[in-house]
Amino acid sequence: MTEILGRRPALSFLICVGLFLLTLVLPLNDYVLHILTLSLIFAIFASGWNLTLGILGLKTLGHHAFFAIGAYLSAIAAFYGGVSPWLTIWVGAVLAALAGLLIGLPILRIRSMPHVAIVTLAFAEIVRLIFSNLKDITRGELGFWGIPPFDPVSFGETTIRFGLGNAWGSFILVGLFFFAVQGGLLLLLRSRPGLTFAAIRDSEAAAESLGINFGAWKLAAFALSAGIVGLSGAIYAHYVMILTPTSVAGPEMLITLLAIIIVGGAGRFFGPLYGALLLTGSLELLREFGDYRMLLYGALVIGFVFVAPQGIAGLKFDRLRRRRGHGTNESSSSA
Amino acid sequence: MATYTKGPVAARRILALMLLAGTAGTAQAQDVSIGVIGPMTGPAANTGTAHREGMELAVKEWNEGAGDYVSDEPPQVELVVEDSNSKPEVAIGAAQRLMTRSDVDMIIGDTLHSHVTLALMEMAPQYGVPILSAEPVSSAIADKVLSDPERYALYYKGNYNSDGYGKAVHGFYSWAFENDVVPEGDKTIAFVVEDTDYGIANAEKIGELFEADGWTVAATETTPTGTTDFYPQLSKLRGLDPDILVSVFTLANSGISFVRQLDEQALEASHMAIFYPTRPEFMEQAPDIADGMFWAALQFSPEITPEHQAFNDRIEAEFGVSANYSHAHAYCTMVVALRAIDAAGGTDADAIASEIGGTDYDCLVGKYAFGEDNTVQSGPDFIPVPVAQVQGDASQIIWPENVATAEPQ
Amino acid sequence: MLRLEGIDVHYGATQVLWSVDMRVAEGEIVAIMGPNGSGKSTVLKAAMGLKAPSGGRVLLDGREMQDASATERPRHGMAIVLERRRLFPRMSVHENIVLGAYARPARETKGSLEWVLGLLPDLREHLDATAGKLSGGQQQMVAIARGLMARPRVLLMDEPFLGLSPAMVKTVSAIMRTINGEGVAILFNEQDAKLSFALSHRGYLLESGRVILSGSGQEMLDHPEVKRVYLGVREEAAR
Ligand SMILES: Nc1ncnc2c1ncn2[C@@H]1O[C@H](COP(=O)(O)OP(=O)(O)O)[C@@H](O)[C@H]1O
Ligand SMILES: [Mg+2]
Repeated sequence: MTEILGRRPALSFLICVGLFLLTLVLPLNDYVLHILTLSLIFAIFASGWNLTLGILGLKTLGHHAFFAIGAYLSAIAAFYGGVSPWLTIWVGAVLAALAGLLIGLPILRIRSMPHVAIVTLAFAEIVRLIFSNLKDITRGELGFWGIPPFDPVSFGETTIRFGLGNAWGSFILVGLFFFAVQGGLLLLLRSRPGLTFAAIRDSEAAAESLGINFGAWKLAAFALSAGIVGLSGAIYAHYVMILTPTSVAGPEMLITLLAIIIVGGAGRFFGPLYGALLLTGSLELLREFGDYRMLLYGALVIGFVFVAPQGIAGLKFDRLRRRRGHGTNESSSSA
Repeated sequence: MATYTKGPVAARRILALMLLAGTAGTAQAQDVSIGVIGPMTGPAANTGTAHREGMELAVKEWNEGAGDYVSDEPPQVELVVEDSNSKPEVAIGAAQRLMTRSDVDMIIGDTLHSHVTLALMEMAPQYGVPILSAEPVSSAIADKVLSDPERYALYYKGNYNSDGYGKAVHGFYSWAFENDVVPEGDKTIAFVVEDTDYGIANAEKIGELFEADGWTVAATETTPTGTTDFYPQLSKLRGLDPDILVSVFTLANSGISFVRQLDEQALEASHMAIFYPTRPEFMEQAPDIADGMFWAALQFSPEITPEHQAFNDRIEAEFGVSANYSHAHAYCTMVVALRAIDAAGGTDADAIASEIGGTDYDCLVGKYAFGEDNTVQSGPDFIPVPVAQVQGDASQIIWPENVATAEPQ
Repeated sequence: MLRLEGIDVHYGATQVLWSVDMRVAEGEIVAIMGPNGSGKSTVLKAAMGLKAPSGGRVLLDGREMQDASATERPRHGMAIVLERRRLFPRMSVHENIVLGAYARPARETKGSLEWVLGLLPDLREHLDATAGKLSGGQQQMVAIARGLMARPRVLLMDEPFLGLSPAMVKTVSAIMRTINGEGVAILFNEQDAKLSFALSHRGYLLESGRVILSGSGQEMLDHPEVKRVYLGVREEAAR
């Protein structure tokens, strides 16, 4: 599990929370806050996907479908049903999880990873087509607008508002969601289910021989993963307040998130956060380079894959482990 | 360390000069700065680049004393271009960056996408900044303005609504029947359109207008983007024998295949092609396969409009590419913005917005004036959506009559 | 306590076990000996429920196990140490061992761990090491420890000596005796006849999916057929 969680996951988690609280008191402008907010939404997405792609090692490439399902269904419930987004995001998340169960059942029977990749990709494309063809409800590619932001919250005198343009409130809100999801995942991974996931990834045959029903575990992980991704989609919908099938379920979303996971470190608990911050941030910094921006971005991603094939989270782990390795050598030789 | 080679020294000098030039440039006060947001990367980057070139030319001419000014002391203008990557959330980031980092006084965007504009227009009330979108046409944007005019008072839509084509096609045929250019027949119309909002919205609008005149829609066939085999649709239509056949595609390839196969099937319907004939690839082949075909909309035509040819020459001189409709539209949108800022006599958002609203200005593609819904109006008196006909080697505008360059054949 | 009755197993259309009968009594060490490909592993898998037999019955304490899937059998007192150890290579030794207790109530884990480390004290200093980086012998100990965490009454072991040095073979044999001394019955397989039957109370000889001989360890060693073919008494060893 050290490989997944790093050496001191709880401490790292608390440091991240501390850094987040620190950013709240810094005089950051709306633009920086917006970029951080988007990074955190994508980090939630990536954390959810990482559960199946990284930690379970299932080559599922269709998770942007769950992002779209969470986003659209929460938006539809809030827009047509007049229900508060505080409630509808859970509807979006649960329905995404159910969709995960539905697609997970056949997918988990497929042994060949290339086939899993193709089937999940096709699933995402179907979801995109459905949302773009339900024009009466979603307005298709014209864009589903009028999605309400999260209702404001008041503490005595002060009212915190959310949604586009309310950068500070949105950042706090998304930060809270991120740490809630991340904290929950940390608890889960540090307990028996986490160990079980890692066991299934390492060897299904061995896991089965110990009495682990890996089929059921994988299905549960798939549903949880889809649910988290759906939640991130729902949060996105009520933050950006407009959806189009291509922008949430198109291939670019897939590539962006895949890059985040790979650069951050597939299968590492903190990988999605590092990847999302680094890639979203650098994409913005590279704006200075105008036309060369996407070229440099691509080069950066490729560079990272070469320099740190295990991702950023993996880099740190390797170095620590080497240091530790020396430690045990010394102690055993002195013994 | 005293042995510098010549190269680095030269490089250092150039660098120093550039730095000097840079500081000199910013020292020379730019009175006003305008931010532009468009798809500079991603699938629509070609169009985004055309937009940027059109706008850069407008600003350059303005700053160099070659603009069409309102006041005697027009402001110097700085242009900051940001990428939207065709995505709403990226455009929002770009807008916030323009507001906080570049401190712009006005935003033009999105230059192309309706869905991006639907998100971007929220920035106008949030940050109190005037926003003018360029090429987006979706009526949903205008509907949103009408749903809360006060909220979107600072937002303007620089292109006509998506029903513009529908009105043009209907207007043209009404005129054509009256003048015996096309026989009316038994009043049936059919559509073969691309399965996109663009294709379907156009078919629906045109069908609606004809049905109001007592026509019947015989069929609406949709095909996926990129289709090149239309025999199934065409053989079905052969049986239905419509009087008018309207086709809508955004890709030239689909259009070329469709027109070819239509020719082979020898349908008697009057054919109206929408959008794809604006693509140069289509026009290269048109003389052979589409002689006499009607199409919409010929809004930029250097071959037959001297003013467009002159604009094309300026774009070519500046950027080494030939101009297309997107260059022209972007240029005009920028000129509308520049004149509004000039007329407002400062950077007050409300003043700029109200000057945009009061625009009444003839530019390359027609007369710019905004309606109740803060949207540029279309039609013969405003921005015309001209119907053209392929006549020999070129296309000629045949409707509306006030801009026609030739008689229909 | 464990009985296999008339077990047939097919892989697709090919039959690999033909009406195999075996039994393991309380406190016994039983060996399955046979050449490569004779079906030894398949017997253990069928017993554990990892491969469904096409015919016959598996009985544990007289109870039919057919309806108990592989994931339930550890709860009934069975555990298996797979061929080539099959550790979780990227996890620590401690995590590997603890996972062995998957089928047991969580509150037992600590006690079981103490018991197992008592039997295999050498593992204590490697608990934090990455399992995949251990030597073959150490890995085998981890695999055994992991199997024991299920607190089995019968432990199935698939080629426990495969790839081990002679010294390590001795160590592992000793451990197997110790475990057996704790009241755990063992059913293991091995290609080497001497090793198999010297260690076991009873043994079976398997050839081409059929049991062709059975008896006590000594009887097996003394049997002329075993001597001729597997101990190479008259000719060179067949394998
Ligand atoms: N998964 C499998 N699919 C098909 N055939 C198999 C499979 N596993 C084993 N076999 C075949 O079953 C027979 C017995 O194999 P096994 O039980 O592994 O033998 P042993 O363990 O004695 O070497 C062999 O002929 C082998 O080829
Ligand atoms: Mg074997």
